[in-house]
Amino acid sequence: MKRLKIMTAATVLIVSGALVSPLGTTTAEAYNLFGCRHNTVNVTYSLGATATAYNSPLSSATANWTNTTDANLSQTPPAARISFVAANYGNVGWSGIASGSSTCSGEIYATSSAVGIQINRYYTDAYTATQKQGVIGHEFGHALGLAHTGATSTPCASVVLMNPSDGPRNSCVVYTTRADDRNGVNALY
Amino acid sequence: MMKKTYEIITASIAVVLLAGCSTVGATAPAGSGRAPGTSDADTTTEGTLHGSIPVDYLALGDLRTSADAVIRGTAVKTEEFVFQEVPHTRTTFKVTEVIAGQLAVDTIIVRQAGTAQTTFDAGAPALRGSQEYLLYVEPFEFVKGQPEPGEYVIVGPGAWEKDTKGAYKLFRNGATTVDVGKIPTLILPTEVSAQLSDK
Repeated sequence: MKRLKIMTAATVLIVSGALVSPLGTTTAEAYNLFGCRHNTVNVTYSLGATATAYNSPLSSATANWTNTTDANLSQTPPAARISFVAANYGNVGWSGIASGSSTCSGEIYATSSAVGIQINRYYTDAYTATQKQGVIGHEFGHALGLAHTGATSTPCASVVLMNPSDGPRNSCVVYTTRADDRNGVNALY
Repeated sequence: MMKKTYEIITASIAVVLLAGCSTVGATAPAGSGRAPGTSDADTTTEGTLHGSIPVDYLALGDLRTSADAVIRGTAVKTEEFVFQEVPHTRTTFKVTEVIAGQLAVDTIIVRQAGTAQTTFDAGAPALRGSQEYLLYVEPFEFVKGQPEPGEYVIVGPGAWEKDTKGAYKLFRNGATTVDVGKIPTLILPTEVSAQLSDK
């Protein structure tokens, strides 16, 4: 009889855990991850070709991640973990790219030149400073390990910095991290 | 009695565990397919270029507005190159039909971000040699209004690859997060002109 009581209690625990835990997960973790992260909270980046108009948006974007999350982005000379380039790539359909951001070994990025951020000035030269900051901040989100979240049709209240399109971010005035973006990075660092 | 109760409880636990597995799968972050901090090197998307999209295309009309022409043809030859640290592909494309718009030549170069190994997640994958495609194209340019001679780009997600049954399937990266709205993922050969022609 005692054995029966123990088994019944175990069943209740398992059932309640199965019902409650996933619901909590849904609301707290809308962000998406590549499954890669840097093995330190102090993540360095270096500058390649760029233009004066991108200096302030770059500083604002990296400061925003540093000030709102547990990750610290800082600029160093070459051999940093992230490289940044703003150049004209023509009308090839992207305003920013993070190459290598979903490539790692055993969840950990390489300690040097792991991710390349490229900003396409064909599109972004016409953006305002805050719109530039939005694209740059989005790409640094990739470089820290975040994947895209949301879609073109996502309502403004739910648009985050990691939305894949400039359109919703610009029309909804999302140029800095939102709680969901921060939760994603803080889950990694 | 004791044995029957034991069997019921065991069955209940099994059902709950099974349901739990599927529930976790359904509620894990969309796209990543896994919870934060859980991954392994085998499941990372090797060599993907994660792009931010400057223009959204949600209907054929959106594509047509930007495109100079809607064409059918064959990818004859591909060449991969790196431009300012970003891998690209140039494809020599033999045009067999101009369905809509105008194109003065019968062979063009299609320029794309990404290669066969390094896929661009926000647009069509690099075209594959000998395959037939249906494309919305516009001239490639570094400066607005100044096209590079003979070179074109695909407009947004406007690329369909012909399959073995003759239908055209939207040519997409499997891991893409790009929203294509009402753009059809499959166009039958008999519908091509009717759906895409200006007439």
